[in-house]
Amino acid sequence: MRSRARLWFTLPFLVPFVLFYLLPIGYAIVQSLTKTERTGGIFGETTTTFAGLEQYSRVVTDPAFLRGVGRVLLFGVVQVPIMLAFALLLALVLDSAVARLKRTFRIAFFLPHGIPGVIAALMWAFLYSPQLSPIVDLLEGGGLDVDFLGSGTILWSIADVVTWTYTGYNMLIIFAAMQAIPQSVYEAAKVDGAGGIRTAWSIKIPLVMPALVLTGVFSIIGTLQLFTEPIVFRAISTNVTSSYTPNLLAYTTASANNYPLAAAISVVLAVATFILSFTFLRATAKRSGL
Amino acid sequence: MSRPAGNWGGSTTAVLSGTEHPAEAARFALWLNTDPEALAMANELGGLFPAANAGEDLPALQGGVGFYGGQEIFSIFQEASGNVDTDFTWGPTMTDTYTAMSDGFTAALNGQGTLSEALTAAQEASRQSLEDQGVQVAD
Repeated sequence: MRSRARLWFTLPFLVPFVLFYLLPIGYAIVQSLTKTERTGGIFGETTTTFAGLEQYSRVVTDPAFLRGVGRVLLFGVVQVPIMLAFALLLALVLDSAVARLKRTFRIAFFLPHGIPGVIAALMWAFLYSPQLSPIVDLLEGGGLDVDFLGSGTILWSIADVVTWTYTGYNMLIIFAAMQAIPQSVYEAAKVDGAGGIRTAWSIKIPLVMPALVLTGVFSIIGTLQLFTEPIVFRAISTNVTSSYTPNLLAYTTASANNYPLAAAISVVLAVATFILSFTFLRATAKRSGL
Repeated sequence: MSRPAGNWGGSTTAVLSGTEHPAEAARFALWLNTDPEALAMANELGGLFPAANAGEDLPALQGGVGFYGGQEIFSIFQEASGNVDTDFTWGPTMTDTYTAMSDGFTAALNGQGTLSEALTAAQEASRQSLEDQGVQVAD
């Protein structure tokens, strides 16, 4: 009787979860195995026929898709370690700061994440725009002609926005883990003669490894699904093509009403994300205890 | 043709297939876009330039326009209007064509391929998108 009651309590979660999460995923998977056929010319009837893995073979052999995958992988390899290192540094600084400053800086560091992603990207778009940006003006005054939206630099301009947005969020997770370190460990370290930096390197960082792995997994997943910043920047620069990131490619394919192909792209992206994050967790299992 | 002109934007009037009065709706659509009085109103209130040849002689389209400092802007449109290829039909997947062309031109501007290669690639992408919708494409 008791376990039955427990099940009823999960219903408010289970019903929307199944309806709006599991069912659409299942539907997308089914859709990715079909293709559209038409009888009677352009204005004829459409039928959805089973196409097996045809859409998938198109996706994995599409050079634009593969370029997009390469792009997000490059992005991830560069941006994620830099961002996490920066977040770790900020957490260490915060941990050793005066109590009063702690509160202010905690809020200040987290504020960028509180701004909705699209609005942050729009703000940065103005900051990068050659005509409107005060930064570009300043640099031009100093003799530097910078093009933030050029084909070679726009990926890193996007990386800059992502770092700005998520460093505070990651810092907070690492900082919370740091707070959980018992005082006795610090006391033992002081007795052993460890200074601030040595404590940070040999005690704090190893003990927040689980938090670093957690933020690492989040960042990997987020990077593979990079979408908000590219689509906002697409409006201000032609250097962001329709297949700039795999997620953006799925979106533009769906906007072109090619749902089976878009579904296939999404499934491939989801599987790749799953494999990569699972591999990362496995590789860091010993250090993270997860 | 002296200077070929293309068509971009504008508005369409369509009669939906489920309507109860298709003939009347079609007649109204035709009237809306060819009657001189309707065209004059559309130009005055909506700034629309008439697509119908009947609208070329509208009194509103002769003479200067105050907003442009008295310049006669409509004569340019009238000349271009006569040079538009009326055999051209918009495809059902034009947005795909636009995307392919935009991507191709981006690549060309960044030194990867030429503009004409971009156009060829866009043609191939358009064919592919039509076939994805089940439409047979003639060679």
